Amino acid sequence: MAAPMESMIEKLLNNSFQKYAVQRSGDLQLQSFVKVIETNKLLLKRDDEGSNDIVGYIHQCLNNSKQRYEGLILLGVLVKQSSTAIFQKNAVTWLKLLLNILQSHCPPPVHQACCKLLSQVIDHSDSFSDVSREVTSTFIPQLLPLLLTCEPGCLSAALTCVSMCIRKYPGPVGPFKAKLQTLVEQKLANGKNYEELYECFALLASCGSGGNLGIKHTEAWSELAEGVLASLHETLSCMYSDVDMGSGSSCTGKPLAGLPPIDFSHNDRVVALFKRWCSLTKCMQALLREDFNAVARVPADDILNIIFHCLSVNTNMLMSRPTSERSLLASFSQDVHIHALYLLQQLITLCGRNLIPQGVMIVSVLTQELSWSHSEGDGHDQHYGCLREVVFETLTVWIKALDACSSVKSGETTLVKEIIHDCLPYTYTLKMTSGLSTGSKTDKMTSGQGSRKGHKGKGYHEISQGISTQRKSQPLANHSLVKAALEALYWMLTTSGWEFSQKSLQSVQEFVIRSLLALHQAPLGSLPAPYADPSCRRGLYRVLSACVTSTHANVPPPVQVALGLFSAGLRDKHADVSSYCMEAMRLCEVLIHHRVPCLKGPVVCENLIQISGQNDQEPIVSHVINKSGNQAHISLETKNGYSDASSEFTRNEEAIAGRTAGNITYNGGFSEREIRKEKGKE
Amino acid sequence: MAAPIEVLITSDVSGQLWNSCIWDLNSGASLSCYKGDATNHRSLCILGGQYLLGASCTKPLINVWALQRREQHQLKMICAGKVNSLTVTHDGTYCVAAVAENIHIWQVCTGNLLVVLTRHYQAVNVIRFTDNGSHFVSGGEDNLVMVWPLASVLTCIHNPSVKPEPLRIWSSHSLPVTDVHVGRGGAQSRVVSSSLDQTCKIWDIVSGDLLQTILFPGSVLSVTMDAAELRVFAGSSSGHVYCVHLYGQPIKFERHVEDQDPEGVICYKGHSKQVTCLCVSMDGSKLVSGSHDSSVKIWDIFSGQCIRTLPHKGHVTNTVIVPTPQAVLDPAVKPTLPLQSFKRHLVSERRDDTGADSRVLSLRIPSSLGREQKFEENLFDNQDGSVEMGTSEASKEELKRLKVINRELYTFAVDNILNKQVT
Repeated sequence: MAAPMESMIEKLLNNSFQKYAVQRSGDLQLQSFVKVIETNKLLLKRDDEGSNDIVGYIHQCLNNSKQRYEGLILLGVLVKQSSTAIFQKNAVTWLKLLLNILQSHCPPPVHQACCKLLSQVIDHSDSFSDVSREVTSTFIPQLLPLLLTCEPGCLSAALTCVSMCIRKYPGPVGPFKAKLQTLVEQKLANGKNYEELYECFALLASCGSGGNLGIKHTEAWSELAEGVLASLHETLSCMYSDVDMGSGSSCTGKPLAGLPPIDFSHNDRVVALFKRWCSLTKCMQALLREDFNAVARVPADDILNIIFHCLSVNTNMLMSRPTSERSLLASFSQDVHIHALYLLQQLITLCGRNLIPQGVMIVSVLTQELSWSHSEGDGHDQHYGCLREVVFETLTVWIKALDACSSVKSGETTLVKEIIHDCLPYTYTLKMTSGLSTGSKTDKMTSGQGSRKGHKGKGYHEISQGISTQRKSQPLANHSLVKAALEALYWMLTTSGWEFSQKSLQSVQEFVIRSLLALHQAPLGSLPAPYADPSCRRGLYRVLSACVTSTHANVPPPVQVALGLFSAGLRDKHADVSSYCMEAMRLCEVLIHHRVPCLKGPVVCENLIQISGQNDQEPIVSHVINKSGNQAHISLETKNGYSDASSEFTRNEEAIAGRTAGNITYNGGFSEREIRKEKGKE
Repeated sequence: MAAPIEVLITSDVSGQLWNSCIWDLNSGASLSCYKGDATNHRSLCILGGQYLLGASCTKPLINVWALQRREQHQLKMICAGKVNSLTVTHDGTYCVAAVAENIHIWQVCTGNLLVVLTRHYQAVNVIRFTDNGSHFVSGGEDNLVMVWPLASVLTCIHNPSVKPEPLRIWSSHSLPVTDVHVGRGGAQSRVVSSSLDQTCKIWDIVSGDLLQTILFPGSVLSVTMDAAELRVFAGSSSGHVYCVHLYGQPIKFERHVEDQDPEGVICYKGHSKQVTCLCVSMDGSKLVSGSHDSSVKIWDIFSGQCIRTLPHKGHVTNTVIVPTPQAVLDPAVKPTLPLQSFKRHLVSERRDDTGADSRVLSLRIPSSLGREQKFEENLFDNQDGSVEMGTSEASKEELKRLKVINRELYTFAVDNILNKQVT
């Protein structure tokens, strides 16, 4: 098979190359020629004459100032596909040609492409000793001055190339370190904002020789980190100077030399401070992310202090006593927090379990963020939606990094409350109240269950969806927020669900079951926001499966309901959702058909009954109403369009769990109680 | 020869041949050994797949060998007292050691002694981590088994007024606890403890319940389970190893195992003295036992046959099966985990006198966090623009066309304006 394939490809290549280069008659344009080579991988593994022609042609193009760009593009394809032999043979030539192009006067796009190509060739070059020797001795000393003085237009590409040089040849770049640092800091000070800059900044630490065990690199890294930390600290205290936080954190380091102080007299001082904060946090992230061949001494506590300091001032606090500057700061506050949280994410990713001692602090800071940014949903994007989304993302990163050590238990109540608040499927409700004395009370009963008792029978309220159709609707409102929140909830349950309080876990179960029921009951094509988004629905099913699999000492997993919900989920229109339900069904199947007998039966939950006994007024009412077939009414009554039927589900679940445990006396007691209650009510 | 998937590490109390030795589990060949001193019971562990840690039998020391440096002498970490048991988290972040009745926890990358737990009131015999490193279980001479959540224990260091408390205290054993095995499942796993009171007890961490008690004919000195937790293996003082099928029979809360009653129980007979350490291979087919009769035996679990005997020079103190560390196969691999020497005193909140912050973490930044793949994608993101540049014909034509339009516009405007003024 191989031989005909080879010859066929050779023919293809020759033919297309002829069409393209020799005739130049316009049969095959450059773009199509590149496309042909790329899709058919015509240059792959070829080291014979066939590609020699092309190599020759490319060299010719690169030497000719008019055809340079063409040559660069072709060379790009060739470098990607070339065999070891061709690369080894030509790498030095290519590097020289590319260097020539950089030296000559060309438009920025050509220089840009040239830099990118250079970084690719350099990337491969260190596998070949002769090539790398050449690069080290003669090439890098010539290349770097060019890169450092290149025009602003192609700076990002040049920095990519510099980064690659540092990664592959840290030693030869050493002499240019000071210049490079000045350049990078200068650009940072000017508010330049691209990833290459941060990456290059982080790699500065690896420049030059490392000394014994890379000790010099370690010191350089610490110096950079201290510089950024001090600058961050300075920026933050400038930004919050007005708010007067008192302590903050002390910082002994020297700020980065290249950054000029922010001009205080200037009008857009806050904006400048904000930009400085962004770029500095990104520098720190890059330091914590870019690979480093020596040991990095990470001042985790100091970084955390800065983050905590930053998060301690929020919009609400600023706006409680607004001045013009405070209001301006308040409008940037959300973004300032988001950047701090990104930094926190990176720190968590790097340090992982080493942050366990600070766990409670981190979780409490995240819960605080959620508390102050809490806002009532109205079917549109939330005020602090972006911030909350990043908080949930950070929480997910935290839990994933620390597993069961994440201390989410410490903030569990608030977290569960906020997540459920954000994820409730939204339905429009309109309440019309007629009543003399209950007017003030009705405001309170948006979602509270307890307040309903008070005026039952006194007035009536009518909930109608019909009237409220004239609305600007946003079917995907908050979908990324909800997705992030559900993901966080999933990981919370998976890693620490077993240590949740009974109440929290029950409220989560109830929320998931109710929401899924609401989704199943919703008319096709008008799913409550934001569950028109399949990833949100999938997230909800994921949470349900986490509920099913997590073991808890007192709360039984809702296996029965879950089976029903998952099999209903199989009919979901979106393949992602239905396929997830298939997965989950398998999981449930394993749970109901035990592979081995059980040492410990399912949870028996006497105290659950106690709890529902205490406030049995409300559930019973819903039971009675359900039995009268008026389920739709109930589903409209609660703010978020739920059916109280689900509480019945969970209760049944408990009963069944008790039954499977074989605890006959308990179970009998339960059903008797139920019957008594129902009778009493009727 | 293909590299072995798993290796066995053993140590004995004499330390004559070596302190500890790595064996190929299948062939019984010795792969490498580490010399100097001798390692105490239940205190041999591998840190981050790169270092071998073993607490000394006689001195208050923890010996450390880089796995790839065979035969070479080790690093020594000085502790407050003789270490009875030693364990590390699976990712090598924390190291926990039992010194008399205290439990010391070090952070590996700083070497800081974070906390000393004093809850047992007699010596702690064994400490084991759960497989996700979130909890550890300690068993002691005071008949108690305790489960400690690492997170809440470590959080207490910021708040000295709060005394860290264990999550569970199990006090059903009537004599000292000799060994503990933690099953799979992180915080939801099950724990088997063995005791001199001739029982093994199976516990559930989540609920804290005692699930089953198995009563043996003699004192039990070591216990383990296979990965799927179908069988419990118990090493007794008589030299017999009992394999109890947990699900072979109707489940009883309490179960009596006797020598003459083979139902659901296999008895591996071969050792002449007490069996002090046990472990099971990954696939659940081989059992390794170490005994005071100075031998390590490898058993086929299903048939009960002894496959191999590895002679030692003294009481065997540790048998550990681990997936083959890279460093054992390839001596050129350098350890990358930054290991600081363990400090003897508790870390303080303040910076120390030298001005250096003792709480700065020494870490490696793994290359996977960077993103080198990015270059591949956006090499020529402006390829289309380039083509236009390459074919200057098109742009010339375009220029010509625009010039024509411009001229027309100009003449049209001028004509109009002039004409208006004239009229």
